[in-house]
Amino acid sequence: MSSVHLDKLSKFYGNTVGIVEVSFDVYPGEVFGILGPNGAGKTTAIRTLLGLIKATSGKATILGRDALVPNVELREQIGYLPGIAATYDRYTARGYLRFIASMRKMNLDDEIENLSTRLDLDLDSHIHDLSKGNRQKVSVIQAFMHKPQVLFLDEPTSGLDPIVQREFEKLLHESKKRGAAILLSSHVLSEVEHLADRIAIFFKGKILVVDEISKLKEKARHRIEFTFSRQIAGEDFGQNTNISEIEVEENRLSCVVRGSQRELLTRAVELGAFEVRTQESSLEEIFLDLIGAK
Amino acid sequence: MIALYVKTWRDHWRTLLAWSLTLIALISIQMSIYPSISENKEALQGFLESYPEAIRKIFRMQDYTSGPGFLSTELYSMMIPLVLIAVGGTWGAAATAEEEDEGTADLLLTLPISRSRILISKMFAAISVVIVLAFLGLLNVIVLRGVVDMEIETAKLLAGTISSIAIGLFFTGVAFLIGAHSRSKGVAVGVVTGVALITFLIYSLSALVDDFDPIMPYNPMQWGLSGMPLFEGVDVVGSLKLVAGGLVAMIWAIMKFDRKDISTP
Repeated sequence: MSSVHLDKLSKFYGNTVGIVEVSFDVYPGEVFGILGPNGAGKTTAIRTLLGLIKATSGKATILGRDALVPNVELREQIGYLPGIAATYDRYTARGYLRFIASMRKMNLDDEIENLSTRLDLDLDSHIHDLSKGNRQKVSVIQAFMHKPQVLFLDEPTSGLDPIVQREFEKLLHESKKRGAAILLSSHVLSEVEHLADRIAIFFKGKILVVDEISKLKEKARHRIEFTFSRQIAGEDFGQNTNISEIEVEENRLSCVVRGSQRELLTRAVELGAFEVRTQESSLEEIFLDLIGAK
Repeated sequence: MIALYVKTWRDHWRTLLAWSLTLIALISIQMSIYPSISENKEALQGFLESYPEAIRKIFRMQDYTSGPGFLSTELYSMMIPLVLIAVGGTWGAAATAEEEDEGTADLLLTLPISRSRILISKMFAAISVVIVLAFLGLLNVIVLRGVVDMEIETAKLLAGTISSIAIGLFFTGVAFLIGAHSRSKGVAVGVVTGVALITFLIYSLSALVDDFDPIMPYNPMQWGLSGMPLFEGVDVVGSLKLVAGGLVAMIWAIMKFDRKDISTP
C-alpha cells in the first residue's frame, strides 16, 4: 500500500490554476521527486497534501488516512521541510528545535545533538545570526529529528554546501531504509536524478509524466550517429516515423530517435553502417523536451 | 498548548516590558500632579467652570478635582484602556498574521496540534497579558493613592480596572478576527487602532452631537465608559457586552482560521 496517494487532486485560487487532477503514489522506502519550473504546482501539491491550503477537488491519503481532513495524529508521522526556511529568529537553534519537539510532545534532545553534529550546526547560536545555509540545517533537523514515516521536503538542499549536502543524502538514505516515504520537490534536476527513485514532472499545474528515471531515459529522445561504408542520403531513412533532426555529412548520419531504436538500427545495418554512437539524454534534456512539447 | 502559550509571552516580552514601563510612567506622572489640584480645588473648579460647556462635556470633567473625577478623566477614560488595546491588539494581530507574513505558519500548522488549539493558546496569552497589565496599573494607582493623598475606594478602582480590561478584551478579539482575515500584522494593528480611536472620538463627541445618538448603543466605548465605573462601580451590562463581543470575535477568528488557505511570504 502506498504511503501517499493522490487521486485527481486539484487546487484553484479563484480562476488561477494551482494543480489540476494530479495523481501519483509514494511508497514506503521510496524517494519520489517532483520536478518542474517555478509556478508549476510542486509546492501547491505539497501544501495541499499537508492541509495548509484546501483542495478544490480530488482525494488524497497519507498512511491510509484522509489527508484533506485535519488529523493531528497523522501529523505525528509527518516531517515537513518548507520551501522557505522560516524559523523563529529570536530563538537559538537549540531553543527552536526544543520548541518544535515540545509541540510534538517529545523529548528529542539526543537526536537534536546528534543531527547538529552531523550537519555541523552550532545549536547555541541565535537563528537571526545564522547564515542561510545554517538556517536550512535547522529546518532539515526539525524535519528529520522525530523519524517520521512520511517526509515532505520542498527544495531541501537550498543553501547547503556540498559537504552538508552529502550528509543530507545519508539522512535521506537512512530514512528510506527504515521505510519512510519521501516526497522531494526540487528544481535542481541533477539532485533529483541522483536521489529519487521515481519522478513526476509538473508543468502548469499538471503532471506530464510519472516514471522511474531509467525508464524515462529509455523513452526519451536519443541522438544517434552512424558511420557507413559509403555515402548516404537522409531520404534512405525517410520511412522511419520516430526519427527527426537528420543530419548527413558524406558517410555519416546523425538523427534523433524517440522510443524504440530497433527499426532504425535494422535499417542502418541494411545500409552498411559499421559504427554507432549513442548519446543518452540527461534528465534535463528529458525535462526540457517534455515541457517543450507542451 | 502550554509551549505555545509560553512562546507567545516570550515573543513579546521586550515590547511588553516597554508597555509596562510606559503604563507605570503615565500613571505616575498623571498622579504626581494630583496634589497641586487637590490643594487648589476651589480655584481650579472655578477655572474649569470657565471652560465652554462643550469642552467640559467632551473631556467628562465632572468633579475633576476629586480622586474619582481626576483618575477617570486622566487615566481610566482613555490612557489605560488605550494601552490595553495597544498590547492586546498587537498580540491578537500577530497571532496569525505575523506567522503567515513571516512564513512560520507553514511549519507550525503541520505540527500535531490543531489550528483552533494554536489560536486558543495565543488567545489565552493575549487575554492574560491584558489582565496582568491592567492589574499592574491598579497596583500602581493603589500605591500612589497614599503618596498623593487621594481619596478613592479600592472597590471603585477595581471597577475602573474591570471596565478597562473589558474594553481591552473587546479590541483584542477584534484584532484576532482581523488578523485571521488578513496576512499582514500591520494592517490588523492599524485597523484595530483606527476602530478604537474612532469609537472613542464618537463616544467623546456624543455628549455634544445628537446625531450620534442612534449609533451609541453599538459603540463599545459607550459600553465600557458611560457607566462611570470610578463613581458608580462596575457596569455589569456594559462590561458583559464588551467581553461577549470580544469572545464572539475570537470564536469567529477561530472559525475563519480553521478553514483558511495559508499564504506564503
